[in-house]
Amino acid sequence: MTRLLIVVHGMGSNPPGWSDSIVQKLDSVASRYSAFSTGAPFSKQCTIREVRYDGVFERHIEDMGAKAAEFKKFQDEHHVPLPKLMEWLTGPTLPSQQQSFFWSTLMDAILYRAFAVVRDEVRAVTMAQIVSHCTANMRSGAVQASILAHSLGTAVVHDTLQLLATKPQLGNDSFTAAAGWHFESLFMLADVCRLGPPKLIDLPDADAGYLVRPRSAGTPGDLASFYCNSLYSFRHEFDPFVRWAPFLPKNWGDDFDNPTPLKPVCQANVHGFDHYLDNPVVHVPIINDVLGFSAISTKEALEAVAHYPPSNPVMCTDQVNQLQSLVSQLPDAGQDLEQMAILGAQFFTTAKQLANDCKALGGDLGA
Amino acid sequence: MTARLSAVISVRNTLRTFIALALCAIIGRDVRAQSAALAAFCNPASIPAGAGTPADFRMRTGKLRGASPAGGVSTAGDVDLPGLVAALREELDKTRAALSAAESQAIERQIGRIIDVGARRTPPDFDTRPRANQPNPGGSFVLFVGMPDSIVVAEATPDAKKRAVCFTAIEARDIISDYMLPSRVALASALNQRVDRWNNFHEEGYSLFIPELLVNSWFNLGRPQLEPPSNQIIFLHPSVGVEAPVPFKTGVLGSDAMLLEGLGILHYNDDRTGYFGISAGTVFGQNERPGLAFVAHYGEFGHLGYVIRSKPSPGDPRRNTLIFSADLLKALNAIPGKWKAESDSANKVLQGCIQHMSCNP
Repeated sequence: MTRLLIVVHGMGSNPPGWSDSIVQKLDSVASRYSAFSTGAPFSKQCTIREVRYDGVFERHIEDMGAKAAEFKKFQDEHHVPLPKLMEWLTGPTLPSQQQSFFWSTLMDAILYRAFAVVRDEVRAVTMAQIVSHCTANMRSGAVQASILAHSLGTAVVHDTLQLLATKPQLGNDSFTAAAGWHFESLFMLADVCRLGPPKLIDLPDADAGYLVRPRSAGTPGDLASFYCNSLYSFRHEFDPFVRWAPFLPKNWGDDFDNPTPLKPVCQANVHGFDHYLDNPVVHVPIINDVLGFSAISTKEALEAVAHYPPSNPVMCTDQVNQLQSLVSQLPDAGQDLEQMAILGAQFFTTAKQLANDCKALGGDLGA
Repeated sequence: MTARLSAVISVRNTLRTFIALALCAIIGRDVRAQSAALAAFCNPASIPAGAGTPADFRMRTGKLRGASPAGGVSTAGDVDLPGLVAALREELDKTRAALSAAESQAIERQIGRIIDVGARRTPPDFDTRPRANQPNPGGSFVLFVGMPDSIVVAEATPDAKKRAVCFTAIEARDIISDYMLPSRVALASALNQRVDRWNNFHEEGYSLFIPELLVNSWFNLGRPQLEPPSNQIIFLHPSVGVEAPVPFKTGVLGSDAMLLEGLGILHYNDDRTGYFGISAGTVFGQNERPGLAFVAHYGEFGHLGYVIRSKPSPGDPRRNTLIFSADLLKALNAIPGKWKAESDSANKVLQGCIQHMSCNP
């Protein structure tokens, strides 16, 4: 039996092989514990595969950028007047600066929520990759597949699995809950599956028939009533995106783990995948559940949590306070895409500045 | 000073213990902690190799799974489900004595339901779920969790019972997985073909600008869920092309112009590699007033539009024009070039024949 961990990225640029850094991070955090400090690294004790849907956004954004450049050139050469209606084509609203936070990061979330054509392609691509990874590992028996998703990836995974669980895809029902397929654990880091205007969330978890829920939320003994054995939803107190729309389903039982929001700030970008993984409250259950036993003992886990974050000679307390203060004062933008984009860009820009300020002092709040 | 320091340390340690206990509840792991010793029976990856293990059972029943000599499982749908269920029962018989009568019946009932998979009914649940530590400090695994006939296996459980419960559960899961494999592999293939259709839609289709993405998202036009559009609305779609007066006199000569299609519709073929459609829009040419264009689209050939411009006076010599997409113009201009190249080549061969009185092309 293969123990498979499928990792799914969030917003931002994620080229093929993006998960290498996540695998390294998992190995690095695992090596803090006795079972891994001398034995095989975590990633060698299970199979890790990545899902990449960023190509869908990339294609749209690059296409828009290329078209904008083409029209700008045409207009400059021929001085052909364009109607006012089309000024957006050559104006600053198109991605002339694709490196900006808006175009490289936040646009992904907007395209996913607001454009059904883009959303469906993202789901189709994600579904194909998840199913392919699972089936590729089934030749040697049943697979215990878990998914580790971050940020926008949590929304994509919730939605994609709901479609896969509830109805046959292309006439084939073999991955539905009714056919007995279910995932082992779903780990949602910076879970934003509820972020966005409610009318644009087309597969809400509150709906009857929502199956992306853990075993304890279903009917005992009925595999058709749930789609994963355990579901973990992690959020950080100072992650604005999760603050705006926390995922707090009711009565999902013991197999739903929704720890109180994390508090330690070790990176200015508190929303980062790495930042979540670094925290033992997050990585201990991931490592133990994926391996199927307590590779990290309860005693070790408690010690790790109690001593986290590790002390640092330069703590950059001022910068951390500034960041916490900024996030605490941000108005709730969870249901307004435009507001979310503006405040999100403000958060990322400030976080980068504070990380640079900390670096100048000799500290480290990430890049 | 030392006493004060040790008091501070003591308070700090007490606080840490308190925080640790509070965090214990937060991380929730304590309830699912499982020892490695227990995992050696119930976690397939941790079971040591040997006779009577699930891996051994799998190898012995390879023929019933349609396994090739090289190993693996058949994806051709020739897994012998009744044969495997009978083999599982035989295997359980070897360790059944370790179970109580009620436990044996509970497992037997669920084994009987494995055959349901063949009738596309929901299979039985053979997951062994890790459960709370207390009263089992090393953790426990529960089969048929939440059901009245659930069976608990803890570290203190005799090994024979651990084997009977956990090995049977693992073997049952494997049988169900192997039986479902062909249809799951078929689904993976179908889903990847759908991704290919999306790729075709982007690579071979008509590009979408933001307003068009919105409009095509609002109006579904019969698009099945997760499929690329089969009908695409053109809405405020700008493109650069070449405008040429008609009728042509000496080849296709023209000037750059911009076409803004106001509204139109395209229809795609099944695999989204081609499309056709019509639209209406406005052409903005150099030193010309805007003209009204009616445009026809045909996949890889691009588009061709007829442009009508109002004349300032009835005697104005300006004519109506055609507008081509860059792709179509390239294709049109390539035709005479190709014809000329072929004609030159034929002439050369003919001249050679005449000169050498023999033809060796």
